[in-house]
Amino acid sequence: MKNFSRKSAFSIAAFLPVILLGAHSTTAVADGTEPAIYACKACVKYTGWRGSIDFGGAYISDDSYRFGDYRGLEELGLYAAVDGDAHYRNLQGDYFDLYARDLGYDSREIDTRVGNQGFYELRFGWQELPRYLGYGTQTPFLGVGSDFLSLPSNWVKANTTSGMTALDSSLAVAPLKTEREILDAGITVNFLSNFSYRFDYQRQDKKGTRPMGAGLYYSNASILPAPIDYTTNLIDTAVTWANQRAQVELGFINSQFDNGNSSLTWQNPFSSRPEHATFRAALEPGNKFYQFNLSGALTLTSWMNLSGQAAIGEMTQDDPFLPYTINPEYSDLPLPRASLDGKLDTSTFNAAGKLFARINDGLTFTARGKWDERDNQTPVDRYTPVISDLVPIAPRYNRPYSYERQQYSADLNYRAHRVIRVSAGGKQQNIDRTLQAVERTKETTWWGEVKVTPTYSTEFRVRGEWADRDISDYLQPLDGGPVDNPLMRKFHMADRSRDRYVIEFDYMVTAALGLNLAYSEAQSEYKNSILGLQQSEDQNYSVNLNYALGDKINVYGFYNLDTIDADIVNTSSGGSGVWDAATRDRIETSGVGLTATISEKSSLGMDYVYSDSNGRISVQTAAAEPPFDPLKTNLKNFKLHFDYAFNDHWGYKLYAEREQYESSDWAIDGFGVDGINSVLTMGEDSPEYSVWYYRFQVSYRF
Amino acid sequence: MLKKPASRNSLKSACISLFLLGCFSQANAEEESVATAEYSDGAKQCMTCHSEGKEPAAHEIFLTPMGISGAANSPFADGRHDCETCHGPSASHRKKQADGSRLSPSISFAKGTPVGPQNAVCLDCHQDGNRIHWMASTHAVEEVACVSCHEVHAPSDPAMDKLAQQEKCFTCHPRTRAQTFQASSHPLRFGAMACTDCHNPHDGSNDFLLVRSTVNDTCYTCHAEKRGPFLWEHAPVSEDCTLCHNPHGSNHAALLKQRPPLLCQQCHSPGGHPATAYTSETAENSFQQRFLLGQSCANCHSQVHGSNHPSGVTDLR
Repeated sequence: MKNFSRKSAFSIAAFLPVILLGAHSTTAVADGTEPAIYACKACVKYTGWRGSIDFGGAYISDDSYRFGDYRGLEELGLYAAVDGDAHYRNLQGDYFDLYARDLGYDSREIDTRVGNQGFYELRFGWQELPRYLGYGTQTPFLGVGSDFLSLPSNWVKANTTSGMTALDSSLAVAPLKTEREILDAGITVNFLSNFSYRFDYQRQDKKGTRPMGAGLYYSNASILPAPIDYTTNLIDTAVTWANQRAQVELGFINSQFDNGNSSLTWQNPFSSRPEHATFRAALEPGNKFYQFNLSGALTLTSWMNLSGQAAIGEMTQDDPFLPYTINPEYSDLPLPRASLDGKLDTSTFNAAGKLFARINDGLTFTARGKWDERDNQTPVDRYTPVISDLVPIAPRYNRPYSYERQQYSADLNYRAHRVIRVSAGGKQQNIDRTLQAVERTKETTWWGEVKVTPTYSTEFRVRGEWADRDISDYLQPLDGGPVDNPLMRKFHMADRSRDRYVIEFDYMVTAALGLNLAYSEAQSEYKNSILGLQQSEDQNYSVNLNYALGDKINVYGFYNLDTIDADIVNTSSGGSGVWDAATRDRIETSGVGLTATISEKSSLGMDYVYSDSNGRISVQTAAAEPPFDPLKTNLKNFKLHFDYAFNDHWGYKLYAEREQYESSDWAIDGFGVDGINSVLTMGEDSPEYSVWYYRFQVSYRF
Repeated sequence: MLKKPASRNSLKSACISLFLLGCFSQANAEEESVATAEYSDGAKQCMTCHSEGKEPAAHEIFLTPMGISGAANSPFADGRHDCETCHGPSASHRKKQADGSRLSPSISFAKGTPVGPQNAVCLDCHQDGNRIHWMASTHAVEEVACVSCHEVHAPSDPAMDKLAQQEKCFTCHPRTRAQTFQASSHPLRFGAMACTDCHNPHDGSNDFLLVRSTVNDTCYTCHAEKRGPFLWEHAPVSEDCTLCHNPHGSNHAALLKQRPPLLCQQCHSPGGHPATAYTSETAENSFQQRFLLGQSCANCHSQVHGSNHPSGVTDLR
């Protein structure tokens, strides 16, 4: 109930204009200025106001951060449940649309549009989005949410968590929660018959805390509640000229990210020398991005269409550097520069051409080319890092990575007959990288597809893809840092052959019953990787069913099975100590549901979804090792809603949802805050809950 | 050099010519039939049979922007052809045939009818804004009809509604529906995000129909803190977010494709603790468990997206 008053007030305040407007709702009477269409007596004249307001209460049966994630319903209790929409139209094309959802919850959202059709539109949107990143989390640190985390005055340091005798008495609940607020505002104006101008502004504010690991070299670590105070301002604007043959758009995007906290400082909970009593980490620096876009399309003839886009931009970041360390022992180490002066030029050029060979419109040829470059102009300097505020290491140069991607593809589609379409194509993707182990990867993909539509109610599709990626010589980039085993191949820069197959069958058994069966499989083999990812396989099976029982009842069902397998080989010390790992993820999701119109006054809906995942991991060394316990999640979600209308204006809505969730994760479960000897965690456990969510709303339509 | 027999070449040429001629003549015949078709007297005739309560009813078109006849761009504006602005001249549709049936309107938008002419009607007015690249888009190549996603006659087009839109997408992308229920996913199932926040279904220029030029640029729209550039970059992070994350859903935390430490160990093998085999028995080993349990590698190396700390070379600060 504690949320009720604030949320109710917000709901009523936000919806007041609509209530007032609703009170004046009228239907415009046709007058002498009406268009000819209004001579049509059977045509409905929808002008004036219409809309609905749904207001009432919701009840949550239990506390659960996981259930409240994104929904904003994390606490047991009552909430104001207010939704609605309002629309206005007149004969001159003036319009107003408002959609409001969940105004009484922390996940509230409003979207408004007002304008005159074909001339202008003003847009406004507001959304709040809560997130919970940890479940049952606690910490002994004080100052949660700030950039300085201190320990209680009676804190007892120790080499391991088990020796921290003041830990239990110091623990306080520390939800890892973020709240994102998104403000959207925009305008579109059409002018000079072929031009339109669009300006959109978005501001995102994200505040809260997130878990952040903070290591102390090899010996121990703490999981800290790090502050989040992000603001992102985005401007996206464009002017467009368009007619039926050609369209051109010139756009500009500007995004600026600011972080209210540049660093996080914390007191060391572990035993240490006095100069290691406090540590400091950098948080995400503010950055800027802008991009100009020129985009266009041209229909040269009825059988040839060309389109293209060029985008040139820049990313910059120049927040002041922190000193190398907060450790007074090395506080006089000089930095090569006061800030990064980081600068990245981005450019994307793409072009596409589509040719319809005039053979009964049955043959189309599409060719595309794309060049995308990330040219990192950030200055390179020599730094002397003090690793985890303890020890300076040998100087290192920063590596401003650059990439250049080129893609070319061509597709041919031929409708050989009314019932058969044959397609084939090829794609070449080259990626050039700097300062990395592989300078160039080249991947060639060929594919073919046959789609058979023997009747309007049946469609069968088979597709195969065969890709082969080759790499240039594997190098060991030398920057003074640790060197990877020369046999290691990073999976995205390794020789790879990849096959993918898709089989789909769509069948409208009757006009009312539709069935879709699909199977897809992708297999990747990293043929020359002695160490690293060896192979991966991804399979998906899905069945979808839709059945319309008359025009009043619609029933659906689906089943989906994903299996994702990967095999990895690595070695712990040079050539010896080779080990291999196998991961096997299996995710099964199924659901059934129906919507039914019971009468002119009432309707009913029901949905049930079951999702179960099982992740098995086995790491094998020379000694036989037992596999890990399976990683499990199990979700059961049931929703029921019933709408009833007393008359044209008044009605009510009932909604009930039950969500049950169970999960287990051997990496966190049961360890508490101090269960891992050398890591002071926040005691997170896998979420488990069973929550009922009831909602009753009175509905008024106008 | 051997020459093919002239007779065989001639025969092949004749076949090709006949085939092309047949195709052209059929295409021309189709064009001619549309050109000679007549318009009816407009909506007042259509609404005689398609008004509220009749099947199929089309009266709700007047609740949509299309039905605002006072707007110059409306199909119902003066000087246009009302319903037949989109459905084509369909006077013949009014007349019952000898067997009691009716001819379809010139363009019926029904399933099974050619997609090209259907979409051409829509594009006649709507090939601007984010639809500029439609002709080269995957959906266009796959012959997806505009009306497969858009319900033109509905007062509220599901394709424009966050919650309803995804059901349209899941019709052809059922796997993505299942992924939204996985342990870690973007909030589509709560209606807090829409497919179109990341994808432009009309686009033909960006990979995966994304709304921005690259995968990372799309992610940075909401995750600008990951954009950098950072002093110490993690190369795959600045190259492609999807190397480590599956944006549609995963049974691992943070949309990760793989569970750490294996996520990291499939690329890193410098010797020492990054490449050590962490087996199920490691969980019991008080010295090594910090590399495996909790957040695994991220217990210490938390700045995997990049660090701007002068000492952040190992992603520790």
